[in-house]
Amino acid sequence: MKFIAALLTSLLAAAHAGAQPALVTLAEGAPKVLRGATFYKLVPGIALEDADIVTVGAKQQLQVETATGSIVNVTGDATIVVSLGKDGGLALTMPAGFAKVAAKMPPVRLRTPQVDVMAGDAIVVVHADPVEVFVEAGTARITEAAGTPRDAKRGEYWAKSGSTLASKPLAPKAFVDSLPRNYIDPLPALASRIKSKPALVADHDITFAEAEPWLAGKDRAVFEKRFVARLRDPVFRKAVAPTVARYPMWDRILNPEKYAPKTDESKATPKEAK
Amino acid sequence: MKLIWKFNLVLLGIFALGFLVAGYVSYKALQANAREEVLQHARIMMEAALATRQYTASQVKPLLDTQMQYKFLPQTVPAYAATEQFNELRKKHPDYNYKEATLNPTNPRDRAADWEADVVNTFRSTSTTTEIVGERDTPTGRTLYLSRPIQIKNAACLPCHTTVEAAPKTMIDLYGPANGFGWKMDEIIGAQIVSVPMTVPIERANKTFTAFMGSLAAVFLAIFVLLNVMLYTMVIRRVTNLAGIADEVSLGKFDAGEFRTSSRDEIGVLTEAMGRMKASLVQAMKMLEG
Repeated sequence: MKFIAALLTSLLAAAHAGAQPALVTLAEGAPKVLRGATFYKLVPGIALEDADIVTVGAKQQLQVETATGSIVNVTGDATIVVSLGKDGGLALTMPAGFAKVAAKMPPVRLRTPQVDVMAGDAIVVVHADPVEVFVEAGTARITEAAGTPRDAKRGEYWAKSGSTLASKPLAPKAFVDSLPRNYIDPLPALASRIKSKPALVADHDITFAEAEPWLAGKDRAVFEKRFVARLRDPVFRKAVAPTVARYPMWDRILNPEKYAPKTDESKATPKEAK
Repeated sequence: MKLIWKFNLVLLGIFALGFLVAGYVSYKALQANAREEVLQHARIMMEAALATRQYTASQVKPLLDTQMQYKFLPQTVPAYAATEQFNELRKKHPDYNYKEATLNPTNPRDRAADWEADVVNTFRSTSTTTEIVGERDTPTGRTLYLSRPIQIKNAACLPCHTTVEAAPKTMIDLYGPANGFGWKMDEIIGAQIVSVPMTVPIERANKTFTAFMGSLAAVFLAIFVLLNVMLYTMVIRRVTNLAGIADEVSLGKFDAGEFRTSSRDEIGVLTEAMGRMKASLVQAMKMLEG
């Protein structure tokens, strides 16, 4: 009986882990998530999905907890791309802002403009830009874009010194003073307090101005595909029109005549046409 | 010497002796009580300091362990907490003092003064001594101090005080690497010293003593006056009157007066007896003359 009960419990946990790999457990201010091409309001109980883009304002705070027990708190003016691994691992791409991670295995990965920080069974505080990493407990792995991974140990503070990443045995006062006040305390696990799954409430569809930074990046094609449904909106279409040539997929849709197969007449040279 | 002088002399002697004995005994008792009261205050304060230490170690420090990773919080140190708690108390009672006097402290304010170092060294040299009570003069008056040894009995204390390398970096950042290291398990590194002013309780004892002795003197004076009045009216005056008549009668002046009394006390009985004696004498003289 005990074995069956344990098996059922683990199956339920696995099912839960699959359903809610990264649960929002704290949402102060009004953080939002961009899912597909629509912004939704984030409230505790909502599960983040792969490829969600979360925006957290300067005075806002978002806490996410994974089914494996990792806790990530993000604050500061940050826009974060969420990646979820099949193993329950969480990766956040954050160009700015602060994050505190109390990670268990599988590791939590934070991608900042200058370094990747990987924490498993560790507690780290990361400032994305300029990069600063403080390891509160355990060991984290810090990898520069073109560098070898380095292990950052408990109590160590890592930051760029010139062009190189260097460690100090103590967090500088300026760094500690710049931290959100709650980051010097343990992150509270709040997942157990969430009893119901709230409905996702749409805030607004993404505007072209909001989409443009994503479309300007190296993953333009991905975002073109992601936001293609917005072309149904005349306002969006009108905003895209002046620069539509930059977006081949959209250009094909909005200006199909440009890509239509050429007729014999059109194929004929001007000389022949005469 | 007249009877009244003899009586008063003896009475005064007894009163003086009683006054001195009562004064000595009460003075000693009041002074001992005052000292005991001061010592009791000191003990309560010592216990309060120990309670603060215990509370800090068991409840406050665990809550701030994470913050200690970022900056050292002296509030997590039991000695600091006890001293700060006492400093708050000193705002209203500035004559009271508490110090964790340490020979090699991390926090410079805990460094033992000369006389405190003597107390600490006494504890270090005689490990069986668990408490030292003494008195000393200070600019604010005489104070009583109660001291107990600070002995390293908890290994959790050692990471901060063994070597600079093992100590938390945040602590080194705050206090520097020069002091507060090299402590060993079971070593007596300092003493908790509570100083309590004796001036007020001693003044109170002196006032009580003065009031008591004043009352005693007043009672003695009242008894003295009352006894003299009673002695004069009940004994001296009647005996003097009796003696005067008897003296006249002895000289043959039988008309000197009568031995009259309405009292039935001893002098009354004597008066009546002397009256009868005078009557017998008058009758005998008449028989001799007749």
